[in-house]
Amino acid sequence: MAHATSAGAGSGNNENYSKEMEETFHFGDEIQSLMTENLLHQNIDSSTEKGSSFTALLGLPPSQALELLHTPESGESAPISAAGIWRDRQRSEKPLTLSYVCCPTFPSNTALVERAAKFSIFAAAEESPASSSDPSNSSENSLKPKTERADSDSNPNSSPAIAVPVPLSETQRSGKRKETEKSSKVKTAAKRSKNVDDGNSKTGEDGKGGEKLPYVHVRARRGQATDSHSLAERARREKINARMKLLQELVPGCNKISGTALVLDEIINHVQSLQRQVEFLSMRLAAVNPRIDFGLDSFLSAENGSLTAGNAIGSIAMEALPWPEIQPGAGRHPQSQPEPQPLWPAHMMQTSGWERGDMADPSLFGYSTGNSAAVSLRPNQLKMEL
Amino acid sequence: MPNQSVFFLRLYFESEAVPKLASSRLQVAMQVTSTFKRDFLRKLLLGLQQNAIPSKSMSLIERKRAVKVSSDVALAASREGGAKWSRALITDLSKQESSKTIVRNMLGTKEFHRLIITNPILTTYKKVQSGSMLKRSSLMRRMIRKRSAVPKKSSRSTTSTSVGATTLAKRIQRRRTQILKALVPGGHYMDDLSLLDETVDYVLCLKAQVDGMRYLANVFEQQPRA
Repeated sequence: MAHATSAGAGSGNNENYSKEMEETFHFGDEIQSLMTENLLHQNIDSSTEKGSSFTALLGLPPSQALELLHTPESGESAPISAAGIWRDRQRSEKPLTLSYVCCPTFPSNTALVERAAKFSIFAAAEESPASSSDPSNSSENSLKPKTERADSDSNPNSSPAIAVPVPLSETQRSGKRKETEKSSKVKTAAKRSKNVDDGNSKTGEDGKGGEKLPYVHVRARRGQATDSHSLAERARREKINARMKLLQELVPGCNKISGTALVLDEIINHVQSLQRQVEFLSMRLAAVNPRIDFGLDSFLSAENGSLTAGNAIGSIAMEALPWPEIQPGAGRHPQSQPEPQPLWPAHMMQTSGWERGDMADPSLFGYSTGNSAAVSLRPNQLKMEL
Repeated sequence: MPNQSVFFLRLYFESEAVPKLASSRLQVAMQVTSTFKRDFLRKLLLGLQQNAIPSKSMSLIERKRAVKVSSDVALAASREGGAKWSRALITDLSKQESSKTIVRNMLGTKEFHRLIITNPILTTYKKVQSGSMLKRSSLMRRMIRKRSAVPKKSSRSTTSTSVGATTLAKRIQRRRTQILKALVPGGHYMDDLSLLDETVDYVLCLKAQVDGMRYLANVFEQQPRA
């Protein structure tokens, strides 16, 4: 009974406990060990402590873990998968009777001890009120929840610092405080009842806790709100950030700038400069425009009849060829040079004509440029016929 | 003389191939590659051919406008189908009386009508006017608020500077976004996310436009010498 009440008090004091732990995190090792010893005295079966110590025990080889279990140094009750416990209890009542006794050290029956260590039932059942005799171990234990907390803030998928060989439930892996609290409460309630028949109902409770798990899990990852609006908002913000990064890669000299407003400034400058360049170039083109007219007139006379035929031949020829992806125009041009090409537009138009075979390849291009090209060609031909 | 154009053509397309290799992350955006450029060039040439022939009677400014419009239409028509900004650009140009004929000539009457009818931006044309009205009214409200806040400013100045670090940043960002929306065609109808998407696309296409026009200008200017 005393255990049950102390466990309840411990889970209630958890917040204070964690705050104090964070405060002590900045002190030296000795002060820290002292503080944590005191804290261990105060609420010895706080849930985080259980979790860390249990994982520490699991990290060790089984013989050492058993030794640690024998020494009644710290509250080593663990938030293990409680369903497993109850299954085991229903299967064999002997470990359960052992847990009734709540003896700090194990009896001499080694087979029972091993089995109990295997299912880690003693870790759950045994909560020794004795103070920690080993300060180094206690400080080590007290350090672990802090590292876990730091990891869970930065990395959402972080498992506890110790690699746990035993198959663990998701509760332990997430290192979630609330979940461990819940499981500890369930365990204390089970202890209070101290009846095998009650075990069935308790397994039902545990199943409920397992069902609630994903919700808690999401919340544990980010430490943020979990309603659908904020989740969607977060996803949207991440998308926007990805686009910003893309734009940063696109705009020259924008890589080293941080801050959304400054990046937007650079993007605006870039777009404006490009638009200004377009204006300038169109002015340049307009200045040389009469010569274009000359070139285009001769181009019209040269290309008038053979435009569509050349396109068809070119496309057929190009579909047969294996097509290099980069600069396909460069390879073809030396071939077309010896042919009589009076003016460059005719030359270019011929290249663009056979490039349509290139465009017809759907694997290279996501959108069909052939249709719009044909549409834009049509009025031209009509005009020429007129 | 064809040698020169071949050389330029090669330069023009090779310059595009380099960033494609360099950043494979931009694959989707880098569909704007040499084929897009070729398409754009052909359309630009056709547009110039259509609109430059009557240009002998034009002044330089008019001709420049015609070239600009035809290059824009060529760009938008080459990017047809995927992006919102291209349709917005075409509709913007077709709204203006001076450039309407150019757009119609370049796209063809059928395509022109198809674009105008199916374009959701034109159907929200009334929204533009009401939007500008709203903008003006909000501007007025803000000015009034500023004027009324001037006498109180001495008392509030310390709190406003200390509190509003994040709000100030947000306001700056919002202002930049407004400017960007004005720059990207059709940007006023987009939310932030699609605006950024369209900006990526638009910047790439603008680069292609600039390259193509520069290439053309180089060729045209070097032609008489050779």
